Amino acid sequence: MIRLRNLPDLIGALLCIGLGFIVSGEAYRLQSYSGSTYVGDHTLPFILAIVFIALGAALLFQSFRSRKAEGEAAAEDPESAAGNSERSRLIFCFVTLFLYVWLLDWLGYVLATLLTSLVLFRLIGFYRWLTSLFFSIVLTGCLYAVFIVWLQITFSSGSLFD
Amino acid sequence: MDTIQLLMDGFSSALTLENLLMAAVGALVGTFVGVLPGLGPTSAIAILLPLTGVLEPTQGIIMLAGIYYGAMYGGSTTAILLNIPGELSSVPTCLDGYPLAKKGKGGPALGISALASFGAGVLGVIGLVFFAPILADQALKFGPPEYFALMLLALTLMVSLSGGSLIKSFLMGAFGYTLALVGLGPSSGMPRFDYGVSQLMGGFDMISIIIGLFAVTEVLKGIEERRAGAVIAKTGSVYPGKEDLKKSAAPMLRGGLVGFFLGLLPGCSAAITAFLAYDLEKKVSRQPEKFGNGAIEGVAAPEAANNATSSAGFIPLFSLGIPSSPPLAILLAGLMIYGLTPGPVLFEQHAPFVWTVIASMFVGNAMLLVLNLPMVWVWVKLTRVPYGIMAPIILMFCTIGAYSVRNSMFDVLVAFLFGGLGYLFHKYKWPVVPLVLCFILGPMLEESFIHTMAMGAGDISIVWSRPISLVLLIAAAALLVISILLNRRTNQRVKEERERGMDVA
Repeated sequence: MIRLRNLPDLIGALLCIGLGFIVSGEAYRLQSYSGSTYVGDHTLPFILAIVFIALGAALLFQSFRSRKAEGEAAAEDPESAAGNSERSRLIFCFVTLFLYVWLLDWLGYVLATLLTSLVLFRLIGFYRWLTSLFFSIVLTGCLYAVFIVWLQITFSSGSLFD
Repeated sequence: MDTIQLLMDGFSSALTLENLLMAAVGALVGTFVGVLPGLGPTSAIAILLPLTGVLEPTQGIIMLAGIYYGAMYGGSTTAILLNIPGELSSVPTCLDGYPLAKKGKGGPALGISALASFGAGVLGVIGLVFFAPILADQALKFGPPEYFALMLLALTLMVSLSGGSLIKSFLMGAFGYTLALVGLGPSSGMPRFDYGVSQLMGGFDMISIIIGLFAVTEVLKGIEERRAGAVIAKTGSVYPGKEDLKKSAAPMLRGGLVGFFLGLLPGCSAAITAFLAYDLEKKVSRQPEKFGNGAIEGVAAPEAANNATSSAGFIPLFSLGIPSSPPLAILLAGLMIYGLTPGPVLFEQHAPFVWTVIASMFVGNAMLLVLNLPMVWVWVKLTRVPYGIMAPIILMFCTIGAYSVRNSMFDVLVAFLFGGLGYLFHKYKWPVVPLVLCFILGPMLEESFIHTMAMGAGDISIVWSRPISLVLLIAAAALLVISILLNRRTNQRVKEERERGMDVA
């Protein structure tokens, strides 16, 4: 019996096919700016669109396989399923990083780094808040001394303080 | 004779106080990052690449080369003492290195590993001195069709580097090329794939993508795996005795030669040569049963092989612009950031730079030996730094690195976004190396393709009607077959080691 082997490959294949259509749309738009039908800024996007759609379809086909092959693939796959706590911690870290980008613009480099590193030390290292605060102060201070004072990299001072 | 003279000039420049300092800092920082469990040469260079941006090109590349060698060396420390192979190429070192460490002979194993790395590294650089200019000289005859064929060769290399699913490799390569297309089109000057977002008109910054895919991803993987300090085996004195040196001399030489000559083949990674050297040593040994139980030859041969391959990889990198391993792909990005496009004209247009960097590799290898042997205890202590402290520090470095190239917050956002994507790619086995390589080579491929088509008046057959490009196409096909066969063999060996219980990355 042929059935779906893995959902991630299926999703990946569909995304690739979708990307192929997006790229081909852009190739079509760019063709109007080119003097030649075959050579111009649109040529490579057009080839890539074909690659995405053709190979995406092949992967889509491959994401279905026989039960026997499915069992073998599962046995070969050493990927450990991360626990829920690890996964949520990972998501929190990821969200923190995006918040950091926003905070950098709003609070400026020093405060944003202090806050973000405090949260990261707590999240990743499981340190107590006080210990995390200590680590984050040391880290922010060192980064400030090296990159802003010594190497003179100019970071945003924050729109809040402008 | 000219080559020797140029090398001597290179030495006179490399031995200036500033450049020596850069080589030393690079070697130390590289070793430092390399010994941290989970961080290999690729992520080490990715994290530190933007930070060298404040230096002059020569100094920056000297430091990057030092970081590369240092991280390779550092990887063997974790392989021997912790049984953690940071990179696939360190797996054979673990096989006998860790049993030696458990017997209290970790020190001599580290010493032999350092000596083997030094010897093979020097052998590789000697090869670079003689082979690279000859290859570059030939490549000067290249026109657009030859360059296009060369890019196709790089494409086949991309497949062999990734080792996993062929379809996924090609799709990731296509994704990399697509990312490279974002920005202004080379022939019309019209924006492509910008969708009205002004930041996208300048295209994606290479560094942000590299930092995201290698450094941020590495940290996210570490968080998921809950990396913690490992139990460190005993070291003892790091200076190997006469008996160990005698046993290791021939394996070092054989491993170095295997590593160097196979390393000349683009796509033949250090992991392949390290395994081949290890298996060869086991075959020629009078006591093959000792292997896997703490044979010093089992450390000397693969360490020599992987370092010789790493050095040999600079030959196609400098002379053709083709990186043969992921760390060299990042190094290629580094060269391009400094406005130095590796390839045939590099030797012609930037001779002092190239020869200074080559000379500094000799210096860097010697420094690694001199600095690291007496400092092994420092590195051993470093492996105990908790991941909970290292991870936030690395993430903060990543932010600064991504930001500092163009002073753009958008690049930081891109780095984090690709960090997340890289994590998903890793989790679902989509290889990232083809993406990076195609992103780097994308503009060159497009340029050579447009020129080729213009030369052939729209007829692509010009590519296989010229002798050099035809040879390159045949070489690409042959390399593809060889690489697939060698990769299959290496994957089989890795699978065997996994089945024996080794935690292979």
